[in-house]
Amino acid sequence: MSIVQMVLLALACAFCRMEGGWFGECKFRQPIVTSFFVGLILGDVPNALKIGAQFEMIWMGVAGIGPVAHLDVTTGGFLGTVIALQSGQGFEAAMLFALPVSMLMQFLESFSNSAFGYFDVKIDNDVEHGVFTKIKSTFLFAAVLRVVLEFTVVLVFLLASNAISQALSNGFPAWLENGLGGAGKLLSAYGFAMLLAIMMDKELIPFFIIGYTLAAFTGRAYNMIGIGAIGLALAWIYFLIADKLGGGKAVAAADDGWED
Amino acid sequence: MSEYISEKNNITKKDFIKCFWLGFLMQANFTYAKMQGVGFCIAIQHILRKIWTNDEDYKHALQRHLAPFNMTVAPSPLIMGISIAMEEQAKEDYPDYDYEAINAVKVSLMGPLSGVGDAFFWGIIKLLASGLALGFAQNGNPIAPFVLLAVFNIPNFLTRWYTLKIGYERGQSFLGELEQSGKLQLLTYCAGILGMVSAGCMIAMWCSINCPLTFTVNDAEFVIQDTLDEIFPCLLPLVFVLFGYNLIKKGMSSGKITLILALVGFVLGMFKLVG
Repeated sequence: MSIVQMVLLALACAFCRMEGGWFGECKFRQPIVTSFFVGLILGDVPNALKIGAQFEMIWMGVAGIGPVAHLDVTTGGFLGTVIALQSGQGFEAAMLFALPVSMLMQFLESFSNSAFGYFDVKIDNDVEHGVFTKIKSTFLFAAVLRVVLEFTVVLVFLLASNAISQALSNGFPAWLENGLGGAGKLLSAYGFAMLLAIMMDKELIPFFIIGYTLAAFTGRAYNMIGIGAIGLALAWIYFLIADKLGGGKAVAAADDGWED
Repeated sequence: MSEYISEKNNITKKDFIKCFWLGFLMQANFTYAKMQGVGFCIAIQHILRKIWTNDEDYKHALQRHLAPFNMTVAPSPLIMGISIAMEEQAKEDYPDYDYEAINAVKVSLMGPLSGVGDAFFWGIIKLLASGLALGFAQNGNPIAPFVLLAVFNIPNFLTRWYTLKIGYERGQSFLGELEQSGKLQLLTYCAGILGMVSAGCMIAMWCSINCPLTFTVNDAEFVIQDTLDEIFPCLLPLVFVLFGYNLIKKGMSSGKITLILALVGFVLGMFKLVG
């Protein structure tokens, strides 16, 4: 990996990481998108996407809401894909690296969320003293600083990644590979569990069963769109009935899991 | 059509377009102190300046909208629209207006609106976007990221624009009616139905956990997974998802759960029970 590639990668990663702030959460952060950038820069889009797809699944349920803890899936998935492509060891190697990164980077995020509160105080003071024009510039300055911080940290990771890839490229013994494979499978189950935790409500269990059995027992006769359409129809029917019965007041169970 | 949205305060369509775009920046410096508060303020700052020409009043307006704010971002322009409408009303009634009401309305709408927003954007649209893109990505098809971004962002952009418009034009009455009639909860619940059907489908389709163990009995190969499939296809994914779900419900931290599942998976994988 050349130094130019590393800088490009760090830029792309910082870009994807910051879309939540700069572009209103338009989902550049998803591993399928980040791995595409990695593939473009390292010249292997198809394999990068295959790795990205696996990260997407592990982290399917990671959301910035509800009872679910946050993980920096962007940086984790991004750097994991880089390692996988560099070492030629596939998803298992990528995961080994990406999991600690996603947790470490979340610490950085928590730290920034506190530290950058300094700028909030500054803005309050400015307004108090009648300086109205600096709100946007102070806010944007802080935001740019955060991108630079992300860029720098990722670049440091990338500089270290060559050595890591080298070590991994010698391959694993079979037991280690099987073990990592198993760990990856269970972690993808955790991703879906997080998704359930966001949405689960006892009254919604029957609908979960419908979706699950339709997919599991028909041998993929339906795809996502087909089953989604059935789900839409069910939701629609429920809406019509509940609406006719009394304007929805029948739905007493307010779902607190959704609250931010 | 007139270029002016609000003639008396000289607010044009251009101002609203600017507000729409600035709204995307709302979390650029997300902090624990104000959360999206400053971002909210800069999105409507230029419009506040037009409404409040007097510096002292403008200052108070800015301070009102620098208050901590936090909600699902996609429908947040609705509250921007409502805030603009209320500020205009405040000026009209000047000085007899209950200014506290502006932030009270903002705070009271954040919760329910986030509820509906999360249900739709995280529970349905994000799920659908990831799910549709996954199939392409697994085959290494470079169209995958574009599918994901398009499926997510078309509703995202439309929601942002129309909620800003509805928020300004119909104001609190719109949401108030929805909430009082119970329709907002009903809508959230129905989004939950669709979300759960999709989640069930996705677990069966995309979470592939198998048991690769095989026995040879009297020269006949015996594959455990085949037997499992005959009884209950995709059983293992369901078992492990529910296991993970239980750990979450026990209030365990995500770091701990990740560690537990990684360890259990590693051991099971080593003995080829899971793969």
